[in-house]
Amino acid sequence: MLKVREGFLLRKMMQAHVVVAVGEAGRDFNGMIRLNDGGAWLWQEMQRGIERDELLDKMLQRYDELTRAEAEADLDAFLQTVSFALEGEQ
Amino acid sequence: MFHIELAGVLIQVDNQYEAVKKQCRAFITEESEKPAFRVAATEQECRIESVVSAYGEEISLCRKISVGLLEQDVLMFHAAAIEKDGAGYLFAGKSGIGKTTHIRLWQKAFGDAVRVINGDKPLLRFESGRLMAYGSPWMGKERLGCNAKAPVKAICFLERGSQNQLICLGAEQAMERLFQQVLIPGEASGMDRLLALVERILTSVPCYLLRCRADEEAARVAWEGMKEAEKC
Repeated sequence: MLKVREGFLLRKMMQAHVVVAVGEAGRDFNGMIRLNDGGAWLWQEMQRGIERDELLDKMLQRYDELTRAEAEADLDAFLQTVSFALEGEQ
Repeated sequence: MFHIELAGVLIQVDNQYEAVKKQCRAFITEESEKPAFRVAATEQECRIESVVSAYGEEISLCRKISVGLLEQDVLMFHAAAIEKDGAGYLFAGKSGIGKTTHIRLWQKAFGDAVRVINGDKPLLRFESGRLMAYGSPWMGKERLGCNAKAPVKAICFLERGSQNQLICLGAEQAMERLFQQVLIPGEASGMDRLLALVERILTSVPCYLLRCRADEEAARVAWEGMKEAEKC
């Protein structure tokens, strides 16, 4: 299950998508990371928790030309950049 | 118990230690109206690594006042604020990067024309559409600052460099740097207030990056670049 940890928030600032943290999460992470549109979409999908395979299916629906291997590579790269904000291990 | 006025906001401080009152003395005022909020630190909150102290109380109250001020749209900013020719300049950066050193260089280069408003944690608020920097009781190790305010002309982030170079930062580039120098709220509502205030600051005031040495030329390069601060 891919799920965003409690306390991490996706917000819009200066026309950019940013992730910030409050409360307990804010003690480990007191910065701000920027996401592009695709990243913000993935984040939203993971906010309530989603199985990896289901998310890959959604990616393939969203991006016509994407192969499953490419989707996996993209997802893994994304997960690596936001790993600190996800629950448990992937 | 005593009252202070910070950035135009009246606050009641229920202190345990006299040191806190001493620290706040330049900001103490009569209770002329109902305080916007009151703060107190419990014994537990005055504790740092099992030692209960006046220093622990100072830290705890500083944080609580910062949270309370944010609700009044006042931002405590980790920076050094100075005034020259009626314009305020803010220097921000990681602890130890040389904020105090840099404002001392301005004093050296421009003498009495420079006034230090606050050496560590000035307070920012909008007044009639203009961003103002106010002094606060938290003046840093060197205790530089006073009870004064100035309209903010520019925000300058400091980095060390082998040459003195002033670079204009876009609001988006400045966003993350600015965000690193504020206290992060405990709740989402506070975060939304903070983000809105930071965005307003970034769209109102030009931001720069100064890569600099610790020499007088650094102060001159910074001032030359920022005094005509057009929106960059």
